[in-house]
Amino acid sequence: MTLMLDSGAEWPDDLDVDELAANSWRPFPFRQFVLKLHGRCNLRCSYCYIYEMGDLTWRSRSTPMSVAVLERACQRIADHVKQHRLGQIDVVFHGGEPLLAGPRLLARAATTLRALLPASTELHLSVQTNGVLLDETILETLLAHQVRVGLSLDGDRTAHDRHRRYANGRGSYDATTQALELLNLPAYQDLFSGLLCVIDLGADPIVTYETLLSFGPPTVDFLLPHGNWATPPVGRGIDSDETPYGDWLVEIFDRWYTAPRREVNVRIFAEIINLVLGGASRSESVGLSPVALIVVDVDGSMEQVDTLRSVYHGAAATGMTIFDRSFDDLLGHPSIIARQIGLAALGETCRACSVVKVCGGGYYPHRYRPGSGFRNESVYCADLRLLIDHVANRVHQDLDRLRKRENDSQLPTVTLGP
Amino acid sequence: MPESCDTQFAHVADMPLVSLAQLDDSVLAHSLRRLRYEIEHPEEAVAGFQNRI
Repeated sequence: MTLMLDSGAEWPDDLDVDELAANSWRPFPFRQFVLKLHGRCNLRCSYCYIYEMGDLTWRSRSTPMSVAVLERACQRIADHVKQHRLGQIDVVFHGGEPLLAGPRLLARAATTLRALLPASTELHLSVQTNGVLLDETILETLLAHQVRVGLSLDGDRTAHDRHRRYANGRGSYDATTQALELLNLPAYQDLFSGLLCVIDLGADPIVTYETLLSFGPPTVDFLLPHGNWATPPVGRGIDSDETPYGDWLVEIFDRWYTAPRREVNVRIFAEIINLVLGGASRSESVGLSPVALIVVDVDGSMEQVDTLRSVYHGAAATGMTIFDRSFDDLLGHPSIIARQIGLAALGETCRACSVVKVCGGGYYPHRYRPGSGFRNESVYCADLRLLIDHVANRVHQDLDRLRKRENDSQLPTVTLGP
Repeated sequence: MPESCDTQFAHVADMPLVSLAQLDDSVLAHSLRRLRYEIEHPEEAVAGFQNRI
């Protein structure tokens, strides 16, 4: 399938939906809903894609989500679930800083969703927070409503406080680690879903990994700082063959993969291994799986993934709100379709690449180039290639060893389960 | 099976599954189990939000 653009249009604004439909394409329903419970944040992180990069939408949306927006959003989610008979969905409470919305709104969101969804639908609730407001009152609310908690921690004190600061410049490491101590109490430990860490090339990768590990997270993910071909990431020139981010991740991969036991799930590595083995990714940052997420902002705007705000003003917008359109209406939006059609959304360079089914072209916001839009390889292409090749070589070596061992033995076959 | 299972790296059909007992909870064993689960549940092969755990 080849999708043509009119001259002057940036991908995917002029994507030919009729042609897709003629080719028997059908949309994937949304399965992950990100609710922005508050438009402000109590930190001012230097790399924040909401407040510090290309988008100024936050200036008109610096409030908590109103009850009217929340209830309408929950109703729209329930309608979508029923329409598509979804057996399981994720709802992520997000911001700004979602805990600024307070325990009552969090509880109301959880209660409303559970009341509206069919009993047969499994609801996974989570909140992504900086942890500054995570006290026992909030944790009791989250526990009562089974809302799992992801925290953002960038490594040790030096690395974390370099970027994750209050508006007055003070670092937030102490507040975040105090929140982690609370979260690790036996009463709340099951709520702990993991840590997010934005990569800082100035930090030692092994020190960073082991600092995260010391807080006992079930999952860790390392996020590439946002950038694109017009606004390159820190430390990464667009005309350079250097791979600083790939090198940084490879160091951690080797430490993680060769550990004597499985210390933690590192999402980016687990996803790449799964893709190398021929599986499908469940993360939008790699692979060609259709992206099935949608964001509802505090004012009821339905938006694409919020990290697009790192690209330019209004990049995440769809022009639709939960008051005038359904989620099904949004499934026909070119920007949503562009993230559900796999290879067809990628440019020629990517489609000709031997690892395209693993990297998937890289993270969507990182592909932007003025003029051609998002139909480009990632600005992190060289870094991703290095990491993927390294992981693939390592996995293939192990598989070869396994094959040899099996040929030398007569062990009984075991049944695989999930 | 999802289309994306057909990568140039995919040697799953040739893979000796007998070794999982020896691998215990290793990374590779975990990934192989997940892969089998995905093959049996292709409807779950969708991608979610990067900025969450």
